[in-house]
Amino acid sequence: MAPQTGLDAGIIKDNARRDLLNLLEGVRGKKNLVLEKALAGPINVFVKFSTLQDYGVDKVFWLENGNVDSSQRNVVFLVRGEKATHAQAIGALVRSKVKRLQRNGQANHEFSIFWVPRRTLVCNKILEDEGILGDVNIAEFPLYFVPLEKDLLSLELEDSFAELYLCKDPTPTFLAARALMSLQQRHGLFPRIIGKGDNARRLADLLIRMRSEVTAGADSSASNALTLALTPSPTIENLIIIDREVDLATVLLTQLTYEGLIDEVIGIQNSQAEIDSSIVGAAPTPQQPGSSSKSPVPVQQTQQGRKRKIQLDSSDKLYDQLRDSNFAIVGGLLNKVARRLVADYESRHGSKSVSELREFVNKLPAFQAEQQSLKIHTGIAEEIMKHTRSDLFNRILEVQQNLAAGADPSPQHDTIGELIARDCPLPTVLRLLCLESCISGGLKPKDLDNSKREILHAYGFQHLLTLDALEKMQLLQSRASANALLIGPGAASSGKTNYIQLRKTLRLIVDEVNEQDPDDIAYVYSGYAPLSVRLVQCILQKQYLINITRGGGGGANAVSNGAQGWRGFDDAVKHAAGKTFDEVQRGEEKAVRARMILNGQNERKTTVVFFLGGITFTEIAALRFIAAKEEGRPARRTRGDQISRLMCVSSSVRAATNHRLHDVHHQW
Amino acid sequence: NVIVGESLRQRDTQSKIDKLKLAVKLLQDSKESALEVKCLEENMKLLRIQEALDKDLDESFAGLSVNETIFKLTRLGHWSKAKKVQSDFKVSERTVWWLRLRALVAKRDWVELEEL
Repeated sequence: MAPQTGLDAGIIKDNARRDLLNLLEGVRGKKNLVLEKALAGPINVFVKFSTLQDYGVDKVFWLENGNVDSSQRNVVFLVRGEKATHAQAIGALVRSKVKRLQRNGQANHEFSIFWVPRRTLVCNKILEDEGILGDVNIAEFPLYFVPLEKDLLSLELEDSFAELYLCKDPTPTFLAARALMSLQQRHGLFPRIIGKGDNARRLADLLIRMRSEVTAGADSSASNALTLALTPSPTIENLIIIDREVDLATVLLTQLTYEGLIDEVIGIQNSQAEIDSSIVGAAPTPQQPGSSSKSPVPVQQTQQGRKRKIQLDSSDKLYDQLRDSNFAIVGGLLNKVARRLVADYESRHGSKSVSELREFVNKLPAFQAEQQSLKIHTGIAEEIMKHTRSDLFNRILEVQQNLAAGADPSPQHDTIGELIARDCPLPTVLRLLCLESCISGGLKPKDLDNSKREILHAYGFQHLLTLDALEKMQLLQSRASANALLIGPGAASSGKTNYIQLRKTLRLIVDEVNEQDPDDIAYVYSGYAPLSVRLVQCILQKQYLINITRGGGGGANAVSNGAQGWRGFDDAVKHAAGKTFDEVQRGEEKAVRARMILNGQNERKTTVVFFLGGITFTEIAALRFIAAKEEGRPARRTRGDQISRLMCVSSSVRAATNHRLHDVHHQW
Repeated sequence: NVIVGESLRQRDTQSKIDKLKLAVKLLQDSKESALEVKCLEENMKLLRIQEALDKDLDESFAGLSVNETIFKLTRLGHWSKAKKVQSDFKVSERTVWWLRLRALVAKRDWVELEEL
């Protein structure tokens, strides 16, 4: 069995790489690889192109371009199998290829198709219809989680939000269940599954069902390893599933951490950002650093618009420090690091002896790397600063903060109207409107109609469909229809998240935020604590939350330390949308006890938090913050010290809104 | 009913006025989409105006939104025409001021800006 070393993203990474390379090795000789564009990013995370070349990949093509040449004997397709359109594209492509080649009398090409992450019936059907099912080799490449960080896994499903809430398509849920299942098989069952939201409930049901399927299968084949793996995990304490639908407002606010703002302004995908090279300097040619006359403007001759990919992850130490801090202090931090670097560099003059010099030279590469990344991040920070200082940005922020704090929304409409007239990007405007709708339970019908008209006038009538989609997802609705919904299916379990209530009970608004040295997760939005993460706190940090919500002391013993699950916060949680659940998974008693003895009791356990439908970088930051806090408190017995965040999508809000737009655009 | 209208709308918005009419007809059956009907009608009107403008001014207006049309007209110096579009679509005074301001700046027409 796999070593029980807790959750380790590295293993998942290695597995994914090995799987892919094995598949590629299975195809003999040189081959051309045809990739779906959306897959390139995730794959890049765990395999380098040079590695692929070692395995005989000659050229890489995009599926979307449809221009496969036949320079190599083998053609390998690597595509997501979930989307019928893609399968169709391949089908057509392969068929035309096959036809042409056969006409030319050289039918010795081999086609292989690797479905990611699984082969579906629809795919088979399409290939059959195209009449090529027999001509191709088909395999599956089970890529579920893409490890982005050592504490962050992602399914990297870009449009899972739209799929879940607009199309009501359960595919992402299913994939998520499969992915979590693979975790369970490696690390044992999650002893407890806690969750919030209708789709989260569905996911948990799927997990439980898959587990029983596995056990049933294991009985017949009597495979010892499997049953062993399906006892409760000793290293994971519980799984928390949060449905995106529960907390939509968080997504609609502008993220204010460094990483979040990079995402807002520039965009991060697969932990990479494409940044104009005029901002961050040209590609990292080994420049001679430290030549004192450092020109403030990086090399100008790089032609504008050229993009450079920047890897943003914890391998960059500087970025690791910066990413989760509020942007307000990033400038200061950068400054500090710059000073330290200079000081370090100057220390060479002080060193006299040969050994000291050698030591310095040894450190030089590290210096250079650090300097390089410092330069990059200063560039990025300046660019973002330009953005955050702009009038528009501040207006938007003002509206957001007012709305979040529950101020009367009607004066905000004037500001929104002004933003529309000033032609600020449509997604931004929509975000503000949706935010208001989410927080105050819908807009007044008159306001809504007004805003709709203004939007249509300003951005074109085709957005009628966009608005329609938003309404369908209940992101944008008039107050009347919100009420009707509440009456309809019974007010208790359904309806929308009631922010007005929750704001009080869970203290979502924290007025005094210490951005320098944060003491509450509210720092990520400069005053607003993301509801989703507060919910996680409900489970993990009961004591803390009680203290801040009740104003210290008073209700401290209302919840005993041993309380688990939602207990103590049932009332508050009721006001959030969707079903609440709390399942305990047990294995055979004996096995459990044996495990416990084997592993000892005092190990720290991990809590896995899974966001179905996407997470924002600010929420990640907030979760990391909680994790760090818990680690510093040894008194807590087995509470999760390392909180592994698994996000379903790395798409942030902006991405989510954009996706909606895309969706709509696709439809006609 | 709404679904029927919707699926039709998806294709119909393709700048073909007659198809839009069809969509309007379908939508009119349902009461809830009064706003949508109105917007579609406005859209048709806009398309017609833009067609006329295309001919008159020898510039392409097709595909622009109402605000963009006003913006472009102002920038090209046809303030009266822009004014007419405004009244046709009941664009609010504030919006128009913003548009005019931006358009004049884009045109670098400082003289007129002074006069405002």
